Amino acid sequence: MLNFIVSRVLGAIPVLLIVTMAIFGLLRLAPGDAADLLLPDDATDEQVEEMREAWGLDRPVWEQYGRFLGNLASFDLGESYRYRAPVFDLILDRLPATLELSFYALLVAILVSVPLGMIAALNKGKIIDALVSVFSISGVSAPSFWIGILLVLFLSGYMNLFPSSGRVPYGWPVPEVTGFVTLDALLAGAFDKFVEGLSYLALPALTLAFAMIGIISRITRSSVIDAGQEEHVFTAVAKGMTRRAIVRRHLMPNAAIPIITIIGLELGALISGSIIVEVVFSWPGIGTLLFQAISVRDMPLTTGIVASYTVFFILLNLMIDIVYTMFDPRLRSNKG
Amino acid sequence: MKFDFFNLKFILGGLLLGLVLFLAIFGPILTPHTANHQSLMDSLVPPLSEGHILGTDHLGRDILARMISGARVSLAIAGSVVLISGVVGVLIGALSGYLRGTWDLVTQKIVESFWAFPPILLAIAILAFFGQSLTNVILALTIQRWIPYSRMARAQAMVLRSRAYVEASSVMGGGLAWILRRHILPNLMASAIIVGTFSMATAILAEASLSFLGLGVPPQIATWGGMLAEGRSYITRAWWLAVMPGVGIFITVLSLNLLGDWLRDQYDPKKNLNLV
Repeated sequence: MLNFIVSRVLGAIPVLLIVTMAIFGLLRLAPGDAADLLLPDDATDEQVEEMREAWGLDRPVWEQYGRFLGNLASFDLGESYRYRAPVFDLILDRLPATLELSFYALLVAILVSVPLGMIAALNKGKIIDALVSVFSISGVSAPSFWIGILLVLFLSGYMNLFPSSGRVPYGWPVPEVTGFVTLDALLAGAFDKFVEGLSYLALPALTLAFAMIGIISRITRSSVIDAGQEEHVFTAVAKGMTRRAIVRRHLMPNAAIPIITIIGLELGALISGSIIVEVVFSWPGIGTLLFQAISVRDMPLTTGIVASYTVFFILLNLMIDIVYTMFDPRLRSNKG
Repeated sequence: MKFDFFNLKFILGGLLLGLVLFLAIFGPILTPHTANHQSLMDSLVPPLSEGHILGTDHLGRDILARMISGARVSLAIAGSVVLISGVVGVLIGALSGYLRGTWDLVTQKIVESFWAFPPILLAIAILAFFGQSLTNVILALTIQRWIPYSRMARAQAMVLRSRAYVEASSVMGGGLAWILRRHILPNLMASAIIVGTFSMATAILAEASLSFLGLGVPPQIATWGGMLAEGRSYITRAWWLAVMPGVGIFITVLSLNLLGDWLRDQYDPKKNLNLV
C-alpha cells in the first residue's frame, strides 16, 4: 500500500511540472506584459525598461519560470493589479464561499441521484425507469446557467421563495468563525440565521447539483443493474433471501465503487460548474473573483486562480486515487 | 451490422437535430429580419406577435433571427472542434497504441497533463490571456477535447496490433502508414463517431458557457450564450429573452446525447443478450 502511495505521489510530480509550465507559457505568450498593462501609453522607454526590471521580465525565460515555480511552492502568487493585495490572500478570503456552495451542491446531488438511480434500476423497464432516464438525460443536456436563470424566474421571481443572488443579507449579525455561513450560524446558536443562510444557498446549490444528478443517477442505475447480474445474487434469490436484504447486502456494496468513482470524477465538473453558477448568482466565491479578474485584465489574479484551481484539482484526484485503493485492494495490482 | 431505426432515441434525436440543422441552413430565408437589426420602437415584443414569431429583445432585434445566428455559430464552432480534435486525437492515440515505447510514454504524460486541468478552466484561461476570436474559441475548446479520442484509439490499437491480420500485414512488409490506414483506423471509426457525438454535445455546452461569460466569439455576433447573458437582466419583464436561447442549446445538446446513446446501444455487444 505504501509503495502504491509513493508511486502515485511521484507520478504526479511531472504532471504538476508540465501543468505549471503550461500556465507560465500562457502568461508569457499572451500579448502585452506587465509593463504594457500597468503603464500609460505615453510611458518613456526608460520607464518601460524599469518596470520590466522590477517585475523580472528582463531575466531569461527559464529563470522566470524557476521563480514562478518557487513562488508557487511558497504560496506567493504575486499581487493583484486591481485589489493591490496578495493574490493568495484574496483567494483564501473567497475560498469558504466556494467550498460551502460545492459542499451543499454535492450533498443535494448525492441525496437525490443515488436513490433515483436505485429506484430506476429496481424497476428496470417500467414507466418510472423511463421517467428517471428522461430526467437524467435532460439534466446533462441543459446548460447550468440556463437552469439557474429558470430557477430564479420561477422560484424567486414568480413565487418569491428564495433570494436570487448573493450569500447573506446586508448587515449579517452572525460572527465569522469558520467563514462558512451556515456553520457559523449554528456555532452562534442562531438557528433562524442557519435557515436564512440555507435559503441563499438553495438556488445556486440546486443549479450546480442539477447536471451532476443526471450523471450520477445514470451510473447508479447501470451499476445496480450490473451488480444484480452477479451469480451470488442468483444464489441469494434461490435461497430465498428477502428483496430488501439482497439490495442491502448484495447490490449496494458492489454498486458503491462505480458510484464513488463517478462522484470523484464529477468533482472536476463541480469546480468548473461552480465558476459559472457563481457568476449567475453573484455568489462571492473564487469563480466570481476569476470572472472579475478577467474582465479588468488583472493578470496576476487570473493566473493565480487558474494555477490554484488546477493544483487543487490534481491533488484532489491524487487523494481520491489513494482512497479508492484503500477500499478496493483489487485496484492496487494495475500500477501506472 | 443492423441498425435499429425504430427506436425512440433515434427518432426523437434525429427529429430535433434535423430541426436545428434546418434552421441553421435555411433560417435566413425563413425570416425577413437580420440578427443585428435594431428597432427601438419594437423593443421587448412578446413571442407570437405579428412579424416576430419569437418576439424581440430590449433593442428590438428579432429573436428568431438571433436564434438562427446562434445555431449557425454553435454548430460551426462545435463541428470544427469535433473534427479537429477527432482527427488529432485518433491519430495520436492510434500511433501510441500501435507503436508503444517512447512515443507512447511521452504522449501519455502529455495526455495526463492536459487532463489535469479542470474542464473549461483551461479554455477560460486561454481566452482570458489571448483575447476573443473565432480561432481562439476553437483552439480553447479543442485543447482538451482530443483526449477522449486518443484514449479510445490507444486502447483499441493496442488490441488490434496483435491481431493475426495486422501481424501478417506487418510481416509481409506493410509499412506503418499502410497498416494504420488499412487495418487500424477503419476499425476505430465506429467508436470515434460515438465519442464524437457526445463530444459535440459538450462542445456546444462549453461554447455557450464561454459566450455566456463574455469570453466566446466577439459580442457583435449573436450566440445563444451571449443572448442568455443579455436577457438575464430582463428576466422578470420579458422571460423569452433568456428562455428561448436556452431552449436552443437544450434541444441541440439533447438531440446529440440521444443520438449518441442510440449509437452506443447499437454497437453494444450486450444489446441482444437478454440478461435477467
